[in-house]
This record gives sequence, C-alpha cells and structure tokens, in this order.
Amino acid sequence: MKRREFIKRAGIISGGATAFSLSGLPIKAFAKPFLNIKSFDGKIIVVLQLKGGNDGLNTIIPYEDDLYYSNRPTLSVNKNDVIKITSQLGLNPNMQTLQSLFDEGKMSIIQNVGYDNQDRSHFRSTDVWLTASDVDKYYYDGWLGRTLENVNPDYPGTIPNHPMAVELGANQSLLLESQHGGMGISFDDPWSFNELTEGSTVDDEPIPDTIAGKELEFLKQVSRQSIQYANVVKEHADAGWHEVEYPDTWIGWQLRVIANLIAGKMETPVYVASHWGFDTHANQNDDHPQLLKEFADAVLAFQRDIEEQGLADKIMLMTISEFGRRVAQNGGLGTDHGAAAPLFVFGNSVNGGVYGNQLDLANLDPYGDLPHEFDFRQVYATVMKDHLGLGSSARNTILKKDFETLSFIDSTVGVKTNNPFTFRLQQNYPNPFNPITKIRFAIPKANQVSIIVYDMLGRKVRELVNGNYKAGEYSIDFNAYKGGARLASGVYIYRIKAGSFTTSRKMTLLK
Amino acid sequence: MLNKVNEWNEVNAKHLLSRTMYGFKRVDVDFALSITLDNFVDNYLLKINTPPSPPNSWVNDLPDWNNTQGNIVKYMELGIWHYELMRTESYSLSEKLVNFLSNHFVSEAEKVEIPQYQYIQNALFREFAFGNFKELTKKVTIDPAMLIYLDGEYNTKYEPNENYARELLELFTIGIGNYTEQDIRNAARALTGWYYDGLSSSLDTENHDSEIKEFMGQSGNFGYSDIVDVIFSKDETAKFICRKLYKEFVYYNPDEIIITELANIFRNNNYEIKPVLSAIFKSDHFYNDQMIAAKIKSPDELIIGAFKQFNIESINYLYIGRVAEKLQQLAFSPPDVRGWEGQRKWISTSTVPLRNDFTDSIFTGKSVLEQTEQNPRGDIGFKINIIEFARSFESSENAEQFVDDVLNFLIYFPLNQNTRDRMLQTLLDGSAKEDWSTYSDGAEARLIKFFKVVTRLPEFQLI
Repeated sequence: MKRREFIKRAGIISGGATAFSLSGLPIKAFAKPFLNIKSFDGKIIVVLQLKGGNDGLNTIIPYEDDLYYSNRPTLSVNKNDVIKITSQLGLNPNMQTLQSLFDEGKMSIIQNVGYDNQDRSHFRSTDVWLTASDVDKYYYDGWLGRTLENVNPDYPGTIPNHPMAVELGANQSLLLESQHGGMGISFDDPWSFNELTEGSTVDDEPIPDTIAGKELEFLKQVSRQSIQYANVVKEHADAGWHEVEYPDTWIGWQLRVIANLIAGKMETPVYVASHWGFDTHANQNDDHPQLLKEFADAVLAFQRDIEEQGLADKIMLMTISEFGRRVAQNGGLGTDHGAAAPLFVFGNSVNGGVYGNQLDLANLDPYGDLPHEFDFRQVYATVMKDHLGLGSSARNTILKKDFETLSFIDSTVGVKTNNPFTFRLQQNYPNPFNPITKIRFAIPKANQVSIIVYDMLGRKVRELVNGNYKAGEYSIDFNAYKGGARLASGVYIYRIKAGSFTTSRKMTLLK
Repeated sequence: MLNKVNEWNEVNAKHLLSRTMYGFKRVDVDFALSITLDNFVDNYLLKINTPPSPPNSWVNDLPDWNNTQGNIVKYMELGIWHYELMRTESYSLSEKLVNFLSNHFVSEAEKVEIPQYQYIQNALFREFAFGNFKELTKKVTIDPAMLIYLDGEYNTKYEPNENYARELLELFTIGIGNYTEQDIRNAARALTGWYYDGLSSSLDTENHDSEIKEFMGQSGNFGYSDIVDVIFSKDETAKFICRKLYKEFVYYNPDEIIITELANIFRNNNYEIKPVLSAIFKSDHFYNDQMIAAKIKSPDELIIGAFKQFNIESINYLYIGRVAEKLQQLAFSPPDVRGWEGQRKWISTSTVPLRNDFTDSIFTGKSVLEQTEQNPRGDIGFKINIIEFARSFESSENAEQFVDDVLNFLIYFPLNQNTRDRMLQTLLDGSAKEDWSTYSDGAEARLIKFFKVVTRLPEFQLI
C-alpha cells in the first residue's frame, strides 16, 4: 500500500514559472532558492535512532584483536569477511554498501561514545540520549526540541509556515519535546496524512483549568498541528522526487520520504527516523546482520539521492543508540546491554574517517563493557557548532554545559553563498525511459545555456535548450518521439553547456 | 487521603464504567445505579468470572515452530477472541485487568511466535487477575511465553543471560534505582535452567546455578521463587505496582500520598490485588471532579467503546486489525518490553487523524485506510443504522433534548453551552429545530454528519 502509493505519486512534479524549451515542451523553473531555512543557514539534520542498543563491536569490528574473537567465539565476524577500513578496524560485511561512502570521505565513525555512569536500562538510557542529560538529571524536553526553541524564539506566538521538525512513524519523540510541547509532527505517509486530515477543524472554546483540561489542550494542540501542516507536507512531497531506487524496507521508506520532502523544498531543518530491533539478547546473528544491511543500504540510497539532487552539502545524517552491547557473548548466542559504542555521521561536509582511540578490550569496566572516550553530547555539540552553525552560548544553553567539540565536520562545506545553486546536470529520471524522461539542471548565475542530445556516434539528434536562463534549478521533459525524428532504442548522451561549464550524461531509450 | 466516596450518581457511575470497562451502553448506567456502589464493585466489577472458552481446540496442541503461516492464522483467531471478549464483557473488570497484566508482564507475538503459549499466558493472567500479585510474578517468571520473550530459555549457569532479570526488576516489580547491576547478574544466575517444555516449563538442573548468590543484601542458594520473595520484601515494590495500577485506572501522573496508602493496603493484604482495586474504586479520590475525563482513551477503549456505544455487533475484524495497528495497539504486539505507555503516547499528528477516520467510518461505512484499487471507496463492510440508533433515544424527535442526551452519553468532559449549541446547529443544518424529525427527508445525512462531528470532538477521546 505504502510502496504503491509512493510509486503512484512519486512521478508528479510541480514547480513555479513555466518556460518553453525548443521542442515545445515546458521547462519548469523553481523560482525560489531552495531550502530557505533561515534558522540553520539552510542546513538540515537527520537523526536516525537505532532502537534497542546497537552492538558496536559487530558493527565496526576490531579484526586484529584476539580478545574480540576470544570473547565472542561464535558471534564474531570472521576476519576474512570484514571490510577493512583501517589497519585495525573493519565494517561488518553486511554494510558493504557503505564502503564507498567511507572511501569518499563522507562517513565519520566516532568510536567509544557514551556517558559517565552508563545506565543499562533501554528506557532510561534512551531518555538520557534524547534529552542530553547527565544520567542523574531528568529533563522533560529533548535536545532538538530545545534547539528548535532556541532558534525560533517567537514560537508559539508565531507558528512557522513549515513544520520545524518531522518524525516518520506514529510516535512523537522526546527528542522533539520542548516546554511548548512537541516541536515536530509525525506521519508515515505524506499523502494519506493529508487525505485523513482534510476537512478537519479544531474549535477555540476556552478550556477549564483542570487536569482533564490539560489533556484536552494537548489533544487540541496535536490536532491543530496535523491540520496546519498536512497540506504543506503533501504539497512538498508532490513537488519532490527521488533520483535513485531505495530498498523496500521501513528504514528505506523513511529516508526516501525525507529526501523527497527536502527535494520538494520543504523548509524543515530537523528529521527523525528510526530503525528497530537492535536488542539482540539471543540469536543475534539471525537479526543483526540484516538490520545492518537494511541500515547501510538505505543510508547509501539516501546519500546518493541527495547528491544527485544537489542537496547533499546541506544535509547531515547521524545515528544514535542507547548503548552498545557487552563485549562477551552470552549463552543465547546474543549480547546483553553494554556501554560505549560507535556512532555514524554521514554527509558531504564530514571529515570522513574514524575518530577515537583504538579499542582496548583488555581494560573493560567492572561489568565487562567498553568505557567511553567521548561523551555523546560532544557529538551533538559538534553537529550544532559546525553543521547547524550555533554559537557557544546557544550550545551551552541547549546542552546545559560546555562540551568540547570534535573535528569530524568541515564547517566550510555547504556554507551559504548568495546563491545556493551550483552548476549541475542531473541523471534523467526515469532511466531507462520510453518515450518521456525528465532532465534537471541548475546554474548559479544567469547564463546562456544549451542542452543537446547526441547519439553514440556523436550525431546531434535534438537541441533541448538554447537560451538565456536566470540562476535557478530547471526541469525539462524530453520526449524521444517528438521534436524531430522518432529515436530508436539505444543509449544517448545529453550535454549541457552553460558559460564555461560543460558536462554530459548518458540515458537509455528502451522500447 | 483515601476516604470513602459518598455520592453514587450518574456522573460517578459513568466515570467508573468508563474506566473499568471497554465502554458501555446506556442501560449499563441504569443498572449500576439500581444497586449501591459497594454492591456493584464487590459483586460485579471485582467478582471472579468463569474463564471464557478458548478460541479453539488448537490451544491444547503441541507447538509447531515450523508452521509459521499456521501460527499467524492462529494468532489472528486469538486476536478476534480477544476483541470479542472485550466487546461482550459483563459488568466486570476482568478484561481490563487481564489486559493490564499483559501490558505489565509484557511479551510480543513477533518473538513468542507460538499462539498456544500466548494463550497459556493469557489464561494465567485470567487465573490471577483478582488474585495474588506475588504468586503471579513467580508463575510469569517461568511461563513459556516469557521464557521465550526475555530469553530465559538461554539463561544457563555456564552463560547467564540478563534479559529477564533486568526487566523483572526494572519493569515488573520494583523499578529503576532500587537495585544494582550486580543484583541483576545474580538474579539472572538464580533464574538459570528453566526452559519451555511441551505446553509448560521445566527446570534443567544441570543448567541451574545452585551456588550461593548475593541478591539485594541477602544471600542464599536462591532460585526463582526466592528471588521474587526478596523483591517483594522491599517496600518499594508495592509502591511501584500500585503506581502502575493507579496510572491505568485513575490518572497517569500518580499522587504519591495516595500511592503510599495503596501500597500499605497491598502489603497488608500480602499482595492480593483485589483490596487495592476495591479501595480505589470506592474512594472519593477516584471520583474527584479533577479525575473525570482525564484519561485519553486507548485505541481498544476507542474501538470497542464505539462498538458498545453504537450497538455494533457485526464487525469486519480485518479492518479493525488494520485500524488497531495504525493506532499503535495491535493485539499482542506492544512496541517493546515496557508495553504501551498510554495517555499522551497514544496521540500524535499521525494517530489523531486516524482516530477521526475510524469514528467517521462507523457512520459512513467507509475509511481512507481501506482504499485500494479493488475497493476505491474504502468500504469497511459494516456501518450502523443511524436512524434506528437515533430512535433508540426517547428524545429522538426533540432536537435540543436529543443533542443533550447524545452528548451526555458520549462525552464526560464538561462541555460548555457554545459547544452544545454548535452540535445542535450541526444536526439542524440550517433548519428550524421545530422541524427536526428522524422521519424528515435528509435526516439520515444530518445524523451521520452530526455523529461524525460529535465523535471528532477532542473531548470524545477523554474518559
């Protein structure tokens, strides 16, 4: 149902002003610069929660360490199967797809992340991570809720036109709680969300000041949020698309919807996704490899998608999980709750690589767990400083302490210029096609632009674009049966020339 | 302080029924008020019922681990059985209490996999619903479904598995902050060796650790029963369990003075559940104005409640299963070992529109959820006869009185006059109230619209 719905609607694209190409087909121009997210300089953060406590040791594997193998006689990953990324560490083979991102420097692995006096309860430790609290302090708002509060000081007096945060699924995470209530909305399908909300209203009758009145107020607030944003979400979902195929999994779906909304220019800076099932006390190898594969494949698709769409400089995806797992396996071919673990940060602006000291499996805490080297809030502080551009006073207010930041982000990537567009010619979609496909391009300043289609013998078969264009992003429908002789099945090349910028791509007409 | 309530009136009766049952019909209020509160609580609500017949004879078959498809079908039968028991419940707390216990000692169908074990666990909760909580805790500890769900089956003296021991302490008995990591490890040792065996469980003595263990300040050659005894020797345990009962039946933010009193009752009665419940349902605290309509309906309370309120008896449970899943309460599938937290956790921008779609659907017979290529209108396969339902109110031909009666029946939150007027205008749809009749042209369409609007009031979500 979800998948069908998505496919049914994913092809729809709407835009602003319409120009006409040489072949008489409309070119849709996106009038407004995309990602007009003032609060964070256009930056977007996606937080992916691995629920249940991900086993760090079988994710990033110390394949040269005999203690890893002796502690896990049947659970360990064979050294020969590990995808080696340093002389000591390798990826679980089920995350093969992430090797390319590591090699391209788009993946940071922060090792040994945790906090003082690790709590091993799922629920308490999850709350610690979501609220960014010390283990002995109880907060009822989340660190991203506080962050959004900090950059939207007029809320709730002024309600933003677009949701401040979106969570995929039916929950409203503590991560997004603030003293003004939830700062985000949640849904699992942008289209049915709108359909279900159409025609709804909420009255403004005064609410008595009783405890039941507080619950009514909460119900009304959530209803208002759904009504206010359902249509915005649908419009932007319609306006966006995806350039690559995503795996048909729940995590794949969530990241696809996020990319789709960002591509559709929804001005939401915070997204929350979740991947369930990491509490692997028993028969870990029945589930954990598959969970990692689903995670890796979805993240790769997401990164490639936003790269194709020219959005990647602005977006960072980070993982969180309540704890790692015990070094020694238990009697059920599984692992019990542990302490420190690695987390991942993905994006064009990360300084790819592994951060942190080499694991020391000979010096564990009294419970047989890995001690932490970095407080998880150092990672948050780094993302806030070098990705979201928050100054130290804002950071200290939100995190309630001054945390030393790390160096895993290059803060010069994706920094706002007067014009956010770069020269770009995107892969046509769909591809292969028959007979219509969409080609998108962008130019950072006004230019003479031409796009010409050649066959494999280098013969010009179509001129799609030839004229002056303003800075912006454009989309053109190419119909292989129109604007000239009907083209035969085969591979064609389309080449853009805009000022001194020139590049080309291949497309396949398949009848 | 827990003082006895004096009043037994319509407001109190509706409050008690709405909190102890999955919704009620109008005649149920009349019945409750025809006898005293004490009589109703002692001889109806808290009376032990004869157990229901099982969903099918397969509950006595040995588990078949390889027949996944067959097990799924059996789980569906179990789910329908569970819904029908709620829908056809008598004046009894049984169903709510059984479901409270299965949301306390949580397990998930996805991991248990064997419907027989899920049924056996449910039968255990029925047996102890009005019984001894400490004994129940012992039984649950070696219950086959629990041995699977929290990996007790893999817990051996050679390689202990902490999963059950941790949740026993954190979620089932005493709560976080009252034990150490070392206590968890030693409790796990005491629980070693139990495995499911046919339709019950057995101890493999070779896998059981019979050494001396230190646990919560005591030491001995503890087994599972001793561990539970030690936990229940701590005062905090009674408080923790009473807090859960209070959250379920009274209000989600417990009053610690009341909790202390309830915990004393619980301990003084050797952890019998009934005296605690009796004290709650007869107290003025429970009937305090502030508590009326302060609970957000669970999806079960919303769905089953609507079936009872609107006399719906022929139900498409495939649709209901999909609704329940979308509203986040699929039978036997809580999100994790903490179970459904309830109250505000039921509510999100995703679930509010779906709740509205569900209540719409019982009047229109159509749901957005059901729309597919084969069923483009989203027919759900049942809908109520709205004219007949309206005429079941004596006041059906008097618009003002009818609207008041419907609102008083369906909504317990105090509604102001503006809202009542707005509902009346919705029903009249521009015509004069003198012209209202269920026999007039267009009465059906107006009634459908009226009931949709009433059940879309956020106040309808509160009990």
